[in-house]
Amino acid sequence: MITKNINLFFKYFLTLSFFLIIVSDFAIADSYVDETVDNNKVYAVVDSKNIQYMKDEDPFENVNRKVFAFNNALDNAIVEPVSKVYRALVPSVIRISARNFLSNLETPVVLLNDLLQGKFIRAETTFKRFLINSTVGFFGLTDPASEMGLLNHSEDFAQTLALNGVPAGPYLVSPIFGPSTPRHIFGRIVDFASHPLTWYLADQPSEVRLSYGLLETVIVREELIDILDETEATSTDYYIAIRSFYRQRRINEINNGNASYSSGEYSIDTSKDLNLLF
Amino acid sequence: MYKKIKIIPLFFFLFILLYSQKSVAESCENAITFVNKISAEASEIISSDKYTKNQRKFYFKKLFIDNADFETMGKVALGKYARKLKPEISDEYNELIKKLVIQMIYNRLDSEEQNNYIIVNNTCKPKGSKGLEYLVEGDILDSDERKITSITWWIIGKNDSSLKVLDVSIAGISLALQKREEFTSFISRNNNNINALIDNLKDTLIE
Repeated sequence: MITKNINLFFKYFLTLSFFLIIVSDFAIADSYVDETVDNNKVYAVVDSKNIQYMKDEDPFENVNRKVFAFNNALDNAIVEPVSKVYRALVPSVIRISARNFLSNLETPVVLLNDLLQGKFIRAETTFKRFLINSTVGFFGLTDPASEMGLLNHSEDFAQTLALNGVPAGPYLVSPIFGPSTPRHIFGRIVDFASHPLTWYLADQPSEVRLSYGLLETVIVREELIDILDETEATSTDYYIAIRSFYRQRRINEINNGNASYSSGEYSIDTSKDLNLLF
Repeated sequence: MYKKIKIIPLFFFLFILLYSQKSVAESCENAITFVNKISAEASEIISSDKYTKNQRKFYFKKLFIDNADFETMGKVALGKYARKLKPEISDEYNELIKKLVIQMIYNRLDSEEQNNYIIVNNTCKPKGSKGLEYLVEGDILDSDERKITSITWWIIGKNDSSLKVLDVSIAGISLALQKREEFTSFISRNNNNINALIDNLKDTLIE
């Protein structure tokens, strides 16, 4: 059974890798376009070092918008209502415990990427958190490690790739999975493979796998109810708002929560570039 | 005599350098003080039991109107289209930006449970060619003083020496950058017409 799963996984992995290499080539080719020629592709006058971030790397926008509309319809019809019911029925303490439990299960992925990035102090923190939360924290349902000053942090393989200079590639909206980039999709596959639950669930009946997947979706979506509702209500274009949100969040994660002065708004010299009078 | 002449410009240069560094340090200190004052007021409004939800909205609105520069915020959000904003529509646009930001705060206050937050701002870096902008960085802490996330304030100095908030970035998500991406994309897809954006903003705010 395990051999069969491994074979299936590698077939899937190789096919997707091939697809991603092709898609990444589009991105690399696109990055050589002279930014000064097509002004519509550049949001604002920014310094040359940071032009890559500001450039509209969404060459598949038309397709992405269609997939986004499909995902949004699915979310409005099923996922969001179920998440709201979950919020209404389940007390906050239990919801927090469920989040803690899922976060604790992610530890092997975080630890692996801490080590791959050579961040040994963070790896030590991750390891200690797992030990404490899995024991004193009742299998990860509570988070006593944070109270001891060992704060949670996220790492994934796409972040490791980013830190090793792999470009994100164009923005893609995947059916069901939502905002992504080729680098992120590739990273998710590696994270999926390095997650112990993947191998445990592979031997379980399909109902168990499906239930776990749905439960995880509802728990994650419940946490995003307010921010997504607010974004949708106050955005002129929900698709762009989510794209911006996704990109900024990923940059923040890659920078381990440290503000990046070389990206986004911080690259604008307000007084010079926008000719503003204070 | 020749040596003295050479030394004078050197002293002059060192004096200018030291003076400018002192001036930057003082300005940054002022920016941190300004941001800490706003943070303390915001924390008080969110955490205090003495306010109803509507009072909280009222005081938050006042805090923002007093301390934010909506006009520059609106120009930053327009990106490359900022220069195309004609004076006859700029007042209307600025008013819509103000309403939009306040609406976003209202929505957030409606959805958030009342929690105790502490915001500690401790580092500042000047930015911009005129030396009138500052990035003040800090952390948002919970009541046990554990870090929840980071916060970055983009502050600008006005001609009257006052300081104003241009953007707040929480957990790396900048409101100004998000709005700029939205607005420039929207204008671009509507034949570079800023009026289309203004109409859309009106509809969004009515909804």
